[in-house]
Amino acid sequence: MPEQAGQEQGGVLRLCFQRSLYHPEAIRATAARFARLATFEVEEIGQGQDGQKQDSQKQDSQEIRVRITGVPAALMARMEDEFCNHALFQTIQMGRA
Amino acid sequence: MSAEPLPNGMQIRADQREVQFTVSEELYPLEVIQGAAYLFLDRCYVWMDRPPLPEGERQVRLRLRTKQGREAGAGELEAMLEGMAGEFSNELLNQALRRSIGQSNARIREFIMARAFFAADGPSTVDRLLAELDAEEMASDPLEIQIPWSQGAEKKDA
Repeated sequence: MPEQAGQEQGGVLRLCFQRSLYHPEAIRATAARFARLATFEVEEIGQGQDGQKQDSQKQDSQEIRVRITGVPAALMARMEDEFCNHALFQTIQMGRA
Repeated sequence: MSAEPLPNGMQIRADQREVQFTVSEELYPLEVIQGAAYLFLDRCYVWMDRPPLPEGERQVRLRLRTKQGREAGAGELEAMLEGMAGEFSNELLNQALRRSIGQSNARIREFIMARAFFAADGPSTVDRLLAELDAEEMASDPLEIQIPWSQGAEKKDA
């Protein structure tokens, strides 16, 4: 949740998404969409080998971490919310495609 | 306010304009939860994660932070957030029902679609057009192929 997942640390915002709930491509697409506003680093933690299908329990322990730097002060409060909403939107869209 | 605990581990935090609660994946599949969340994206900021649970149990924790109510008082906001969580629960049921109906109608839907595409009466318009062109081509005989050779020879002699 936001308290653990998104913490402002000297202008740096860190978000953490669970792989079983959010699609990594959706996170990357969201980062690309917001790239005009800040700098984004997306990292997958506990990633399996390419092409290997993983069960949902294993996916629960996997995370997608996003480090956002250079966020304008005026947008700092809204950045996390807007990023999460867009990431969820993209995930659902990708799931339905 | 009553001192009874709220259902589904619901926590209302009026100062953050947010409500948190959990949804069991045994009752509502992830697709249903996402379907409901999708409908709330325009009204609130939605965050999903999984609370730590014993192995085998699967739940999704949702946080809905309203985009409205910045000017509202704490009591009013609390009521609004509780209402929003209730609406979300209703939407979960709605989505689950839609999914269930969709699954039970899947075969009949496929059958109707297949029939519409492949079982149309008579030849298609393209086939009809090609047949028309073929007939026109056969009707014109610039090389007089359809005239018997004997008649052709008589014409030349005359």
